[in-house]
Amino acid sequence: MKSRHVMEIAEALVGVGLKSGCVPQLVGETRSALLTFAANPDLCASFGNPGVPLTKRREALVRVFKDEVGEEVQNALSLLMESELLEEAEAFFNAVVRVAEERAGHREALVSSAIPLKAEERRDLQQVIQEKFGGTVNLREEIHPEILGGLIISIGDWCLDASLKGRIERLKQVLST
Amino acid sequence: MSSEANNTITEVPHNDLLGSLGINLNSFAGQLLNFSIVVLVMWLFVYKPLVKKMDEREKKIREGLAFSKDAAREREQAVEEKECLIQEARAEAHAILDAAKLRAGELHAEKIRQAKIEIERIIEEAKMQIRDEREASFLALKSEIAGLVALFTAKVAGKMEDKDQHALILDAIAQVEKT
Repeated sequence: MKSRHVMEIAEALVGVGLKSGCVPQLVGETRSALLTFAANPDLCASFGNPGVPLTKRREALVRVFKDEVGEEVQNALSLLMESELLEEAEAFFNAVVRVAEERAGHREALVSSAIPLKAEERRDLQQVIQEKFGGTVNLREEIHPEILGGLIISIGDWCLDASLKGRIERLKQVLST
Repeated sequence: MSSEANNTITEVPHNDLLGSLGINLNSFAGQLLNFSIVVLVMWLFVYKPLVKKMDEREKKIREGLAFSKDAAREREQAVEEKECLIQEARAEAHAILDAAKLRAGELHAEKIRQAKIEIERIIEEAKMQIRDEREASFLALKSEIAGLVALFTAKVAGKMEDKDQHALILDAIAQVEKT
């Protein structure tokens, strides 16, 4: 029941993004909101407190997120709050990503590298991924020195391990068999 | 001459003739009757049963002779059959003996063949065991080499310059294109 409701709100948000042609932006803002909730665990509890009137909670939510997210995402978060589904924020973000991929062809790519990417590398990578998958792509970069070099790219269920650490592991396996 | 005597003499009465012969007609008739009765009785009670008995005896003797002939023939046949059976039994015994000898020879050859197969199997198993042990040693060595290579590569990678790192990133982007 909860998951269906979360999915409905996600579909509504992506629908709005499709009309205004800003699905990648909405997905990015939703991720940003999720990170804020993850960094502040008490936030969910505060917004979900039934002792505080709903209008007050709505105002507080707008104040917290006004610099971070647009009106559409704020409205979606309000809906979640009214439905007491703020603790499902991660599920909501995953639903938004899935719906954005299905309906708008927009994808989130997680890129892990040992050092930060240069601008042209970022651009080239985005272009290559968009040509491969179609639609739009938002690169989310994370620095992981333990991969030693190269990249690990994840897009939904698709994953490419082009890291140096991955090569070393594969070499070990080949030599071991 | 007598007849002339008779003719000259007057005919003698018949009874006197028989009487001169000493034949009494009445007693003759009576004796004749007795004789007839005796003959009849003898014929009815002696001759006929006797003949019947003799016929029966003759018949029995004939039958006995025929029976003995049949018995002799059957005895001969039985003797012939016995001989045949004995011949057959001898032939069968010979055949069984020959078959037993043949079978014994085959079993012996089979046992030798089985023993050879077993020896070859044991040799093959020993070879495989040696091969497996050699392979296991080789794999263990490979694994150790792989670990050393990985360790060395990691140590080298830790000292990589930025240009090498960016070269790896470009290589990764090329891989995305290829997949």
